[in-house]
Amino acid sequence: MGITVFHTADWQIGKAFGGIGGDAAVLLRAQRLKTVQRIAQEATVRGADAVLVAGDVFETNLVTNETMYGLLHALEGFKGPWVLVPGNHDPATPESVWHRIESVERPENVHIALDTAPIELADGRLAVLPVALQRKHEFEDLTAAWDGISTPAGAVRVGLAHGTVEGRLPAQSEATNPIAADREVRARLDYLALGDWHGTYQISEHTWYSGTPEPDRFKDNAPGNVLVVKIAGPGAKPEIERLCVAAYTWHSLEAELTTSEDLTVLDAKFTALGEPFDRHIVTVALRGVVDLGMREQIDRLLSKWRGRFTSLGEDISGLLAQPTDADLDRIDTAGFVRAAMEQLRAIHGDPSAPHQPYALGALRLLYQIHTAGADTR
Amino acid sequence: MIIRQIEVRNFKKLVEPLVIESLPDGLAILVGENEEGKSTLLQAIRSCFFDKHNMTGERAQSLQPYNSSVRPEVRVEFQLNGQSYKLFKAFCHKPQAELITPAGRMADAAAEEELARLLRFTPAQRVRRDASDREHEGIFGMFWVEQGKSFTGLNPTADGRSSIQHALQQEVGDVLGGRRGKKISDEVAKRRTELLTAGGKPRGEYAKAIEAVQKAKHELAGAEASIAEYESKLQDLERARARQKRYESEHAPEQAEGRLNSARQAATRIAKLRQTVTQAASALETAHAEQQLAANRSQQRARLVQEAEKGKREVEELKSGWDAKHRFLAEVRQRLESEEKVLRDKIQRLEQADAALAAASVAEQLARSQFELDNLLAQGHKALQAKGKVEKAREAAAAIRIEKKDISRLKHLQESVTKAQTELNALATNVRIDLDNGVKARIGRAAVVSGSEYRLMETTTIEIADLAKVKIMPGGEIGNPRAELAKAQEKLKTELAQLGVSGLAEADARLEERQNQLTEAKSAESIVEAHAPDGIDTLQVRIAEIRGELQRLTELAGGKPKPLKEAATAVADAKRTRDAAEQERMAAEKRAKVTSEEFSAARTAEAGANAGYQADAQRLRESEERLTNERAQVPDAELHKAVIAASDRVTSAEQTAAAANKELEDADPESVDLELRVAEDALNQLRKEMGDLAERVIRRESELRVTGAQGLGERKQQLEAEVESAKTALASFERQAKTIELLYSVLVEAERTAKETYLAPVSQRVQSYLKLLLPGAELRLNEDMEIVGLRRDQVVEDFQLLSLGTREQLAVLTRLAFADLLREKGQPAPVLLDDAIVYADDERFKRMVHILRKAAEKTQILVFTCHERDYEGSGAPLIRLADCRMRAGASSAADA
Repeated sequence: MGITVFHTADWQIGKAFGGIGGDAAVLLRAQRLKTVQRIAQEATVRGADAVLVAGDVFETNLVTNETMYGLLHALEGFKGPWVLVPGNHDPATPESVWHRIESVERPENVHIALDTAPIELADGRLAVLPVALQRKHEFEDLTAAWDGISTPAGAVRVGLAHGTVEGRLPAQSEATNPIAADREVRARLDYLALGDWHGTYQISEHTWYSGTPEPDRFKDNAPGNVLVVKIAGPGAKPEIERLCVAAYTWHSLEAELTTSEDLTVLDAKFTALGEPFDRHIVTVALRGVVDLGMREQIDRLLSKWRGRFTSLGEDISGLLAQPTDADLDRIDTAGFVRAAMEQLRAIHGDPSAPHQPYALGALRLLYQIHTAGADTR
Repeated sequence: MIIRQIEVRNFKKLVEPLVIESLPDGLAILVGENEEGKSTLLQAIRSCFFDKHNMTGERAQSLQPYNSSVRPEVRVEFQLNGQSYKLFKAFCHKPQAELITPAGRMADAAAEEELARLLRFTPAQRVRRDASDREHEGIFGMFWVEQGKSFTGLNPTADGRSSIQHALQQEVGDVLGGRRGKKISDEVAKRRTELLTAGGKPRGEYAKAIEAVQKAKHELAGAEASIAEYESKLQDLERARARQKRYESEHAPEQAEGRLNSARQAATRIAKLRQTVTQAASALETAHAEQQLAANRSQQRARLVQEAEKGKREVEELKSGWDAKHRFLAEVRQRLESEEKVLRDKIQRLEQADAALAAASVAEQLARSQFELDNLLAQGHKALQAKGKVEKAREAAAAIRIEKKDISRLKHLQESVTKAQTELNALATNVRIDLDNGVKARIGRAAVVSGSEYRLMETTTIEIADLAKVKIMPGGEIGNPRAELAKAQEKLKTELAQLGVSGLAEADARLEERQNQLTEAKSAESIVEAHAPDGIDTLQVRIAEIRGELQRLTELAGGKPKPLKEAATAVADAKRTRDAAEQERMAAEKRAKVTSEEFSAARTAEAGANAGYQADAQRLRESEERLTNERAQVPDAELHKAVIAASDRVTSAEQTAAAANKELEDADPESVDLELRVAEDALNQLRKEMGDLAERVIRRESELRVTGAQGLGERKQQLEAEVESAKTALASFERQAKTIELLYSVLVEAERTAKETYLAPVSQRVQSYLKLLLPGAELRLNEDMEIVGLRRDQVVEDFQLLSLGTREQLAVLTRLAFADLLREKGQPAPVLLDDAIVYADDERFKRMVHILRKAAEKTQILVFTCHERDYEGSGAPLIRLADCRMRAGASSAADA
């Protein structure tokens, strides 16, 4: 009789989303607990033997008790065993959040691994070999300890760790918390459940990063899943299923804007993200040269979609607004206002002018005042 | 427009017809006296053009002459665009308006409408308030200036302003942008005010955004500091735990205790060695003491022997000394006794000499008293003799009564007689009587002998017998001197008689005799004095005393006095004898005294020597006795043996002590002591440190638990988000503020430049006149065509603060510039100035006339003045109102 475990990691409960800001940040922050509830629900439905969480459960060790209790509450949805290990965000430093949980009422089914002692579950069919980071950055491969730890012969050996598999990740970020690439072999593991990389990523047949179940950035590396791992028995090849549990999707778009048709295209692109729009976190990079009239239209379009998406950010560094004669004529053809506009246009066109960065804004403001005046006329 | 002719009648004070003809194109000077109606003429022209002919009420009445009800009439002929026009208006009675144009004649309202159209003014809907109401006079209100108003400025009318602005726009285009520009400009200013203060400082939401960033940063810094503290405590805890672990793994407490035990054992051994050393030292000390004791005893015995021998020698020496002193004492005693006998002899002899001297002295005293008595007796005798002489002479002198003063008086009386005699002689009459024979004469009883001469001094009758009696009276008054003489003679005679002398010579002799007697008495008195200085009585008392003394001495001496010399010699001899005896006694006494002292000393010395000898002898006996006793107890040989034995014991004890010391030294007691202290300290230190560590771990754990539950990490992230968001908001405000500031400043600058451009045509024209009046100055106008200031020497002066004269002049030349501008744009207007240059000084006035001449080359200018002479040099025609009235009268008469 094989086993089924849920492999997840990098929940980072308590993350603030400063880069997003506003109401969206609050929603995203709250969502992470809800997603855990969703995992618990799925694990229950699928009759998982255990849920293994490979580190970075909390955004930081210094979370409030409310956050801590919030998590414990979210775990209640699955009555089977949870195995949690500390990661670099929440290492098992003295009196860490883990000790706090231990000191209050840790539920019986929640196992917190603060060392490498194996945890036997599923009536002895599953032996989990954990490793707990004692600090943010470990320079030794702590999983080496597993090599010399034996587990019952009939039990499936599953390693659970948080760190970087040396030389195997797409963009080698950190040199700390190393894990040997052949650890699964040396430690005779049937499966190695890893955390730290936020996208779902396979290292080998037996070694996987589950990624974070709720995306938290625009990086397009397939986040939003938990892995449902089925292993028939010791030595069997694990069977992996990606289960998407994410509530929000994060999109990073680009658009070239020159004519008003381009605006229509952009509008269509936004629409194509699909309903419900409030499940999208979007950023768009705009490029192109436009006149003042077009520039105002772009702002209007962005405002419209900002009202629909949970978050819409824009990068307009590639967007160049050039006031045309027609723009200026729309405001005034003569008089000192026209003279002022010409002056502003000259400043805008002179990169060495001290006020150059504001000249376009001034023209746009003039344009807006004019338009508002025209509206009220 | 050019005004060619003006006719006025029944208009206020211009009752009589007035006709001004042939007004020229350029400058004309209309001259009138004060009160002659110059200003009224200007009013009449304005009424003709701008007042409704059919107006009523006070305004209409005001045009009539005072207290009369006639029909005010004004007629003006003018040219416009080369065409001639005639305008006539009559008010109050049968009001009438008439305009004759090249196209035809129009009357009343039609005429006025056409006029307004031609001259581009907006006619008043109602009656004008008063004559100063300019709002409906088009551009002309600006160019027709009443007396005394020019300095107030231009006061352009709405039409005037609009005409000029129109003219300017024709010239420079629409630089101001009209209402739209203003609206935008206002909106920008408003939006700027929302973000910035007038001085460009943040305000409102912008200021709040700055505060929000600061607040968020501050809070974030607080959270970061708390986290840093948490991290620091965490590290501290980890270090503490690591140390605890190390102590445990190294069995540090057991190690320290083992070390202390070893050190303690070593210390115990050292303590024992030290005890041995102390004991050996103590034994050595005892041996030394015993050695000392034996030596002391031996030395004491030797000292006793020496002392006994020495004592014996000393006693013998003392005995022989005492013997010598005893012998010497006997010798001195014998000598003393012999000398005391000699002294007694000498004293006896001296007493005998003293008695002899006393007897001789009494004899001498007796002799001396006798001698004195003899002398006193002789003196008394002589004194008594002299005293007799004194008495005798004094008696003789007293017998003579004449004194010196008596002689003086006598001399005086004698002189009085002589004087009287002389005077009488001077007065006497000498008479010689020569008698003829026979003739007898007699003077008194005495007859006269012929040939006799008589000196007559008194009335004398010469009786010549039978013939005559001649009475001669010498001197007339001769009677007095004669009486004086008689009186003096009588006085002298009386005095002499009283003195008992015959004459003055005798008196002198008697006085001399008296003096001699007195001298004799005095001389005898001296002798008395010499012999009895204290008086004769005293002398006699002394004699009596001496006699008593003599009696006493005689009895004492028992014999008669000897001669004085003999007695004196006896005394001297006795004295010499006595002195010699005294000398001898003294010598003997001195010798006896010296010997006596010598005897005393010898006796004392003898006694001392005896005592010393006896004492030493006693001590010697005692000393010999003690030595004998001690030897009986311990013999000398035994003492010597004891000394050698003690010395041997000392050597042995010294060897034992040296061995003990060496053993102790070899054991290095200092190191052992130090090691013991160090081991104790190390254990204590370790225990304390472990206690501290345990306490620290507990404390840190507790602190970390408390801090950990505060959720600082979450808080920090939230604050970072807040800071980020506040910064973003602030950056947006900053950008807005900079943008609006840029827009605002560019707009303000553009507006300012536009205004300058706009006013440039006026400014240029004003400047062409102004340079003639105030070279280098520059006039400042605003876009409402008002003069706002004058720029001179880089300073802009407010128009209202300039002098009246300058304001007046600037207002006039600005009008001329406006007139130029409008003329050039096809709206020529005549300029009418009613005494408009009244505050100018001579120089300025001259320049203003020059300016008027220059302007008049293109514009008609009518100047109303009462100062004809001021304009004489202007070359302009002078039109006198008086002449115009006369001509009008003549022509109306002709008309009539």
